[in-house]
Amino acid sequence: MNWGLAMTEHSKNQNAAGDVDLDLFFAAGREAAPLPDPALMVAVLADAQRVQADIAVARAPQTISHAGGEAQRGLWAQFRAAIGGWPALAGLASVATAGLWLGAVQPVGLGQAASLYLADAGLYFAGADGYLVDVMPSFEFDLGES
Amino acid sequence: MPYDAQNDAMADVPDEALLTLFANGDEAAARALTVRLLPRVLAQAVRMLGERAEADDVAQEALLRLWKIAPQWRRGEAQVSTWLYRVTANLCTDRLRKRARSAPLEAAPEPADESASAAQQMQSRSRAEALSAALAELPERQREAVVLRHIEGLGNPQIAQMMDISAEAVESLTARGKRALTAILSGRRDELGFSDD
Repeated sequence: MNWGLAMTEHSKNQNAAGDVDLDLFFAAGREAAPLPDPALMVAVLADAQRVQADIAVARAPQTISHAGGEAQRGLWAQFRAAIGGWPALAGLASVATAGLWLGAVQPVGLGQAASLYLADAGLYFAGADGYLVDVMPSFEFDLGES
Repeated sequence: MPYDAQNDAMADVPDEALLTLFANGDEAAARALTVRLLPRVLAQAVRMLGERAEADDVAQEALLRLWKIAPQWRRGEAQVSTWLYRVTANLCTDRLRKRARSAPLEAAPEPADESASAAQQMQSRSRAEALSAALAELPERQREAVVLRHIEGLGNPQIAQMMDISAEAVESLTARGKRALTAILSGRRDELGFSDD
């Protein structure tokens, strides 16, 4: 094999000790590093775009459902946190049920107790019966009938 | 934004961050990674395979694997360059095995015998070819270590990580590799023009 070196260049391959100067060869190796052809660059970038499109498609449905779930969980969590967590939620349910029951049945004495309370507060006075009106007298009757 | 300006803007962005941007659909990140990594991958493939066309195929395949792994990339677990080096090395090894099975006695490709346009270019090319031929004679691990240390210019710790060995082992491999290269190149004094006559 002919390496194409002129006789005058022979000594340039050797170091002072007369051995092969590897650094010269390594430097030549670095200079000779191949550069990618434009066609290869185009092919690699085309692959990249195709894979990016695939990734976007694969992520799209997951992103929507995930984001929706987050939003729902966020609202519910915010409401629960605002009222004091699960114990408060249970208390709220109990109060709501009791209120519904009282409103439907209106136990005997409740109207009188309310009148006394209003009288104590100075909001009820003689001749002001019209302030306490049963707006659904028939409802209690219906419950009693059923 | 112009192509070069985009690459300049991303010049300081680490590989890993660019890969995350890539997975999020950033086309500029894809270009920046290609410009940064493709030459290294191609150079490694050419050195290992000694043939440009096959090296092009390997480089494209290695980058394709990088694109595909991008969404699952776990930050901080490995360096992108290390991962890519191993993928490229594995792809080259597969090709070399296939080549050995199909043509076991086939010699390594001869360097092109081109006429020189300038003495300096010819000298540099001759040295590069001589080095390439000498590297091909080294055991694989020695060749890898020498190329990474003295041509790629990487530090021993990074090479150790890439080759999955200790830094001391890298030191040993490069030392033995350099001794072997010196012996091979000295043995070609006639070809390289070392003779004093």
